[in-house]
Amino acid sequence: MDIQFPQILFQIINFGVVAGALTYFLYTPVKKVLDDRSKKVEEGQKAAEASIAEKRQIDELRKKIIKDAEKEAAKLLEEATQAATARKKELMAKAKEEATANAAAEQQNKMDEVAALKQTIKSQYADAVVAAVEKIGMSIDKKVQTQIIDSELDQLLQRIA
Amino acid sequence: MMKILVTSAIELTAAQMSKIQKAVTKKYGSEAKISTVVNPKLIGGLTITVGSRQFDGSLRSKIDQIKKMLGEGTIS
Repeated sequence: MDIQFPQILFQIINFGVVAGALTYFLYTPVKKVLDDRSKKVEEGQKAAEASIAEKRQIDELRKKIIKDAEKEAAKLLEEATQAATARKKELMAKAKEEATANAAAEQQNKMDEVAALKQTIKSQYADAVVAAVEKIGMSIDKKVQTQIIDSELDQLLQRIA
Repeated sequence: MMKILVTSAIELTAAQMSKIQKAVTKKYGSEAKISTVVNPKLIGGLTITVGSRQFDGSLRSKIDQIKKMLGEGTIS
């Protein structure tokens, strides 16, 4: 068997050229494409994770807001209930006070009416007595009149002196 | 001059006028002038008005006092 070194060398060179050409024109671009895809997948994964974390944060915040709103609503309800109870008490006390005042005023009115009636009776009684006395007075005779004047005159002159 | 008005239920007697004259002269001197009026509405007694002061001794005033007392008193 004849080993032809130039041919082996040529084959080696030929193989090297083909390998180099394949590496340059095929392997490197394909690898680049695969690397790019891999990178994109990785980025997508990171973005997805970030988005999940953000969603989780938003959910937490939402729950917190709802909880705070429920607390606030309960507080407002409690305050409103207390205010309504206090107002009810106030109105009832006022109504009671007015009823008492009205009753007292009514009683005072009745007492005033009774007092006025008594005064009317007294006045009429006094008028009747005076009318009777005047009638008697008109019938006093001259002798008695003179005696009355004498009596009063002495007293008046003492006061004048 | 002091003016004195005597109002009576009936005409005054001479003795009564004399008494008044003496008292007035003693108090105010002889310059005091006395005038008399008869007013049956006094019912009895008399009033004497000296200047702006009045001295009331009439039955009318006494009846008025009784009326006032009856009006202010209590009825039982």
